[in-house]
Amino acid sequence: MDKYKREDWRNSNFSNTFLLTKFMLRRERFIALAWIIIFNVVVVGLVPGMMLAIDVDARVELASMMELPAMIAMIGPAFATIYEGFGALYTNLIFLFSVLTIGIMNIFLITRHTRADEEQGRYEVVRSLPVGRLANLSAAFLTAIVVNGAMSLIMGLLMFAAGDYSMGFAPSMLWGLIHGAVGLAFAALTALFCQLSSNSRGAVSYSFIALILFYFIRAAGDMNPDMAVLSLLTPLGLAVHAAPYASNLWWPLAVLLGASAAVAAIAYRLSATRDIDQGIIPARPGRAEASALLSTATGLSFRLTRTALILTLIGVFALGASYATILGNVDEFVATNDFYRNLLLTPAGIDFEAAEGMTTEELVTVLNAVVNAAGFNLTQLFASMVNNIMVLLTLAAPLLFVLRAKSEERAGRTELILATPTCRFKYLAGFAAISFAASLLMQIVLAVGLHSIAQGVIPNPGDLTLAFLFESAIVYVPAMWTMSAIAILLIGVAPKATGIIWAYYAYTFLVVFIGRLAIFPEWLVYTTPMGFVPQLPMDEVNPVALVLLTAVAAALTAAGFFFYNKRDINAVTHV
Amino acid sequence: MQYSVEINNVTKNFGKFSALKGVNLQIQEGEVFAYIGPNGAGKSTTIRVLLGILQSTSGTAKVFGKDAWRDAVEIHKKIAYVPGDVNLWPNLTGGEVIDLFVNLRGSHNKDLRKRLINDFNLDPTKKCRTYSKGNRQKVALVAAFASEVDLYILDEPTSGLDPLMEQVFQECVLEQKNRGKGVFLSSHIMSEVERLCDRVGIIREGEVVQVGTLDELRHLTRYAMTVATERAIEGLDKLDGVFDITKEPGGLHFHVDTLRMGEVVNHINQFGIKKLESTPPSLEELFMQHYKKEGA
Ligand SMILES: Nc1ncnc2c1ncn2[C@@H]1O[C@H](COP(=O)(O)OP(=O)(O)OP(=O)(O)O)[C@@H](O)[C@H]1O
Ligand SMILES: [Mg+2]
Repeated sequence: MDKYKREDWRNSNFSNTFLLTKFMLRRERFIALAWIIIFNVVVVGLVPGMMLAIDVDARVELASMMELPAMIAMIGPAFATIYEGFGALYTNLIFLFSVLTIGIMNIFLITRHTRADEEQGRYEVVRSLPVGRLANLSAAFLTAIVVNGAMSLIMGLLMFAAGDYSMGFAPSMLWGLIHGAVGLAFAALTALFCQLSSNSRGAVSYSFIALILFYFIRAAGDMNPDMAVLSLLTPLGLAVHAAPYASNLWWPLAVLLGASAAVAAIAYRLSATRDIDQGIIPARPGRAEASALLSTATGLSFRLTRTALILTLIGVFALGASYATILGNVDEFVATNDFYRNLLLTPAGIDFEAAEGMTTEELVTVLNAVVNAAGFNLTQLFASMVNNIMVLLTLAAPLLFVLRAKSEERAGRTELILATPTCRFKYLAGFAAISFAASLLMQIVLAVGLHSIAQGVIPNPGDLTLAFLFESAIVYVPAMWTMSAIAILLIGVAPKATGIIWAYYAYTFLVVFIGRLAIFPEWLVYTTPMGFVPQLPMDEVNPVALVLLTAVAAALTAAGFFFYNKRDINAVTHV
Repeated sequence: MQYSVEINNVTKNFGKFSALKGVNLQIQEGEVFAYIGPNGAGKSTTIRVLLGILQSTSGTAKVFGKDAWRDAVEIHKKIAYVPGDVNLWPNLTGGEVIDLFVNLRGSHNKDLRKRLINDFNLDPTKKCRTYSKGNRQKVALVAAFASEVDLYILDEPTSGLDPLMEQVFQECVLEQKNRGKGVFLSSHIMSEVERLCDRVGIIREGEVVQVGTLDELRHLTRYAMTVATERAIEGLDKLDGVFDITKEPGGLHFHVDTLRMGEVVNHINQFGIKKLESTPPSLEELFMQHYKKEGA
């Protein structure tokens, strides 16, 4: 009797779980394979290169840098000075971000196979087949176990193969397995949020908020010894405390797996009680009527990019501010580290040879003297470098904003707007204007971000005025506009080939970034708009070049609009 | 009467493929015109040319006497468009999208909007990402009918609607028709065409093969007939325009070209008619004939 009941229960809940799992794994194979390959190429692939590139002296330097509170907050507790060999250093350097990435992979994996499927109506079809009530969720978990398991084992073995004497077999497996366990923890958590939220976007958002909270709670715990336990309450903290190649603790692995199972159990419970397409937290109704913003096409463009724009600006501010935290001991870094020295001094044409046997303090004094003799100060040189690198990073944002015009077209939404009395000029101008404005705003916010922290950390605040920061950031704007203008031209002339702008962006990045180290011939930077930007304080502001660059941007934009007005609008569904 | 739509010899090539091969159409103001044809015939392409989204390779397309490409913005003040595949912005609500379209078209009638949302049974507070295909179509339909325009261009607007909503849609079209507004309707739903449309144009492989009222089109096809006579009918198979003769328990069954009907009935009359039933071709049959016809 009891036996039959049990079987009934199993049937109604889990029937055909394995079939569904096989099906999910089929759907997942390419994505999972891509993740496993790319992730291992990046994470394990760095090992041999870094072992070669970072000699013993540099290792000591790096290890001691990780003891700075700011670094502990960013990457977890420092232990690389305690343990020998490359393994500990490498774990200290990248383990947190590495496991965090696996967490992100799992957030998408679980959402894809549960909430997203439900939203698209695929789950309904599955439920109409003779499958158990919990079979789909179970299959999603099994899929996650297979993918994370494969990731763990492959990464563990590769780390063992790539590592030096300090990276033995058991610690390498711990390295891999912790990745998998953190992955499963996020899989379980995401499954829980998939029950709570009524749509996949909500589930992904909640999961990311949790991830970010974990990150900061862990940072607080790692930085304050009295609150150390906080860190261990988060999967990220547990992971860094396992510290493969250093303390090599295995118990965090058990805790992670146990906690994952517990969270998964809650997800199961909720899943059994809720209805299809519903969430435990009811969906908030949106606006029944549009605000005044949505009465023009330009308003729509703004509305579509608003959130991304705000997040970008916050990101730029935060990045600027966090770069500025280093300004306090920038002279120490430059004096003692070849890499920084090249990065900062080469573009300024300053030669600085560290004499043997000098103490750090003496080095700093000599360095400052040399730099000041050349008419600069180090904080300005550093700000100049930050500007340069930040622009290369953030340039993607204005490009994305203007390329929205093209993705809207591919999705078939442009024709809906152009079928109203909205002219093409006005339609494209909305996205172009947001892109141009974003470049300007980003540079202003960057200057403010740098300035906000710099004032507190540099010994002599007069060295780095807001006026200087504004000027040195805003001179980039014409070059950024030129990049957007090239994108606009492509949208007008070759809408199917707008990918060219990303290739050109990558080229610009390479030439300018590596160009700082004077590896490439100098003329190469003039094949990108960035070449014409004065690097303050080394260069003088060159109004003629900047005006010409702006004129080029205007001409390219005008040409883009001209051709956009003359071509067919094509949605991808119709081709 | 003025033409609301005038298409003269319009061709449209996509690379080497020619989607429209010299389309000619004249539609009068206030007319409800059905534009039908098999998949890939060129209906949506014609509509996109009319909207100035595609530029015709040759020929002219005019709406309200203005050039569809050059004067697109002027024209669009007087038209509303609903595509078959409505793709909306996932993070805007249905209500926001309706207002956006209505605002862009420049008219604003709150009561009408409210009534239509109610009639179509739409929840305007939901994000478009959560709408089904039918609900996305409803959003576009409400936005169209809530706008004050003279011509509705609808490209398979009901392909995702349930029968109840199809009914609501038909009421909306009839209401606009009564108000003297024109409708250009591409559709695969024959009952819809039959109920709503004044005239029908059939396009096949980029060419308009027939235009006319439903009655006119029926004239070009065959009636199904069943007759019983006192004496056996002789020589029926020798007559022009008679096809597919079969013997059935109720009598003789065959098809007759509509234009030959008189002669055939006269012939049968000689044999003493006991029973005569004739069925006009259903719309489906009528279109099936056109869809399947070989060559030009
Ligand atoms: N942008 C394009 N590029 C290339 N070919 C196209 C493009 N747009 C349409 N076509 C082709 O032109 C032909 C006509 O397409 P159209 O969309 O007008 O058909 P339709 O009559 O609307 O068909 P359906 O009933 O399926 O909606 C099809 O063969 C289609 O593949
Ligand atoms: Mg079509």
